[in-house]
Amino acid sequence: MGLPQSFEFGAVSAALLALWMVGITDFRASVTLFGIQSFVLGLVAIAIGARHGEPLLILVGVAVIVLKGLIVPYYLIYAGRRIGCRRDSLMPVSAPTQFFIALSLLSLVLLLRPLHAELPTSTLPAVGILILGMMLMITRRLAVSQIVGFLVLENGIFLYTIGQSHSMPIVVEIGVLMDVLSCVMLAGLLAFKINKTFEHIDVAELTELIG
Amino acid sequence: MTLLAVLIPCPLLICILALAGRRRGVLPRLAAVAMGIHALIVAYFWLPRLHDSAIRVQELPVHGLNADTTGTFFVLVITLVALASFTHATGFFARESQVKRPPADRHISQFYFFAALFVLAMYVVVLADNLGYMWIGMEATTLLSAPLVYFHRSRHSLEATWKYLIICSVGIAFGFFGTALIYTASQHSGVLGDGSLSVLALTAHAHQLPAGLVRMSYVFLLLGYGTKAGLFPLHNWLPDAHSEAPAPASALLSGSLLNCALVAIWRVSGLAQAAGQGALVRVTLLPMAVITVVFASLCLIKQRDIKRLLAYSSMENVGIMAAAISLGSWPGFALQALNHSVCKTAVFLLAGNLLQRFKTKDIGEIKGLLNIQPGHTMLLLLGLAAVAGTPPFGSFLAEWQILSSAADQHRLWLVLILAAALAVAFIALALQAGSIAFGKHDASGKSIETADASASLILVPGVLMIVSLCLGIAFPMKALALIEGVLR
Repeated sequence: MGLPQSFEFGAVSAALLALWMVGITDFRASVTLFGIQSFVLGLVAIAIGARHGEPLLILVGVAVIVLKGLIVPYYLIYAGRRIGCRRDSLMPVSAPTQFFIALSLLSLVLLLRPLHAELPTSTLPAVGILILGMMLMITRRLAVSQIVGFLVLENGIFLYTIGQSHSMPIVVEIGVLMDVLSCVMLAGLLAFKINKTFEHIDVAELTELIG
Repeated sequence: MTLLAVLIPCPLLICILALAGRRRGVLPRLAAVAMGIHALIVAYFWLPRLHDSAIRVQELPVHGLNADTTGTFFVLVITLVALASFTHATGFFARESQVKRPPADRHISQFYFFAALFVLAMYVVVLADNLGYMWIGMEATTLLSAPLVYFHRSRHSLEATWKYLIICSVGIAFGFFGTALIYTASQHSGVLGDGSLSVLALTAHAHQLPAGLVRMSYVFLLLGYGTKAGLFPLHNWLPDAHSEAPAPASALLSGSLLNCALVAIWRVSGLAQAAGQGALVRVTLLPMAVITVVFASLCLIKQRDIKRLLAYSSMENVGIMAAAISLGSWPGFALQALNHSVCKTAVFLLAGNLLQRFKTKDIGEIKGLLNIQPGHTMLLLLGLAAVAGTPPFGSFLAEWQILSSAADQHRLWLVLILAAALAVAFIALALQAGSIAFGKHDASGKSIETADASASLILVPGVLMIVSLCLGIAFPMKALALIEGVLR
């Protein structure tokens, strides 16, 4: 496959993985899917870097595979096991309905295609992943699942940045990656604390501060 | 070279001290001294730059940072707030260790470690010319200040920290999407080569950027940095985080972090205006700003928690500053930022003192303070008056400046709404202050320990109030001329 095909293949499979995550409630399964998605995006970055002769982008791809594809999923599954959460229940909208809402939102993006001429080809799958990540964050009530939603959203933005005709400056890419990782580590620690203090990690029940 | 180098050593020293020192009581004093030296050095190297109106741009040795005049101004403001907060913290932590369940020494060390790094991250945000660095700095401020909010390790602080971390991170993620979009726009310009994130370069070639991409990117950037500034629909985390953090951290969050977010909004708004999208700035940022002011003023009326009261008052001030930004009134924005930082830091520190003394944040239980602690009460009353924009304090001058620039642009409805909201806020704050100062204290309630305050607890807010007064009386014209020279 040439670069355009393999790029589109990677981008679209990442979007489909995100869509799959919307439809399932099992925590471990969604973390695993996130890991696969990061892996795919890392490969896409490496492919683009090799094609355009940008060794730094290859480095970013490797970093994404190692950090977001392996370490973060491992950490989240470990956290989930320690806390003892298996699946998201009590969602405001049931998973199948969410799946349909997600599909209609994606079709809407596909139909409207804002600023089609100026944006790179990666925009549609990237915006799709962004929307799906946002949906995951809104509908999931477990603290750890919200972290996964945030990571998916961030993956969407990452796909957008690597799909531009010139990738972002390396310092920025690496800095963003580091920030996101620290954020996930911190949020994971807080999820432990929430579990210990409140004896649940249902963030919708965190309502003591009002007014 | 020196400009950048002088910012780093002292905060870094505090980090090292925090990692090394475990002994109770020594660390806060050392940190305060270090911060004092830091403030002197920064003032020596950076203050003269304010007078030199020739300096518009100065490349720093690190590519992508730029000590322009705005950056210089806000570096000084951040340093002032940090100095006040760290000095006050010596007394604050000394007193904190006398309560029934004192915080562990470990937690105090952590506080200093993260607070010092937090100050450095704020310097990065205000000095960044590269939008990517600005984003990284901004997200770093969230990550480094979250442990400060969690200082008390209580249920409430945990809830506040979670909301703060998640809402701000998601908001900022959208900001990064906006940054990536502007990068795409720069690749289409045809003159910026492989693309650029430098605000200077982008502004210089603003007219070659495709309008559609600039508009879309501005909306996302506003969404991102607006979350961090606490603009209306994105403000949920602000009252929680600012009220649950310990007083020195609240002062840093309210007095300097909000400014950083507003500087980011100012830079991207300036870019959008240069690209001929001034109308977009006015239809997005201005309504958000006005609704923020109105909403926060209404929230002040019924508020029973003294620190949440101050947090909503910060939101109100953020709204006013955002209005100034969307009107393009740079003197108004800078003056208001300076004055708000000075007096809000003072009142947050005073509220921390009250909280330690009365063990409650409920305004209903803090009553008749004038008889118990006259010095504190007078300062608190003056501080609240300054926050509400009463003459003769500097904040009055700033708000006047903003309202008059709105009137100059024939936006009478804006003047009317802002003036009405400011009046509501003033009345609400006056009523609350009256209840705190003159209400009848319920002596049968909790026993109130005698004051054993160390000097810094009252001295720091006192000095800040004098500064605020000076900004209003002693050299208002000089301050105005200086800032106009600086920011034009």
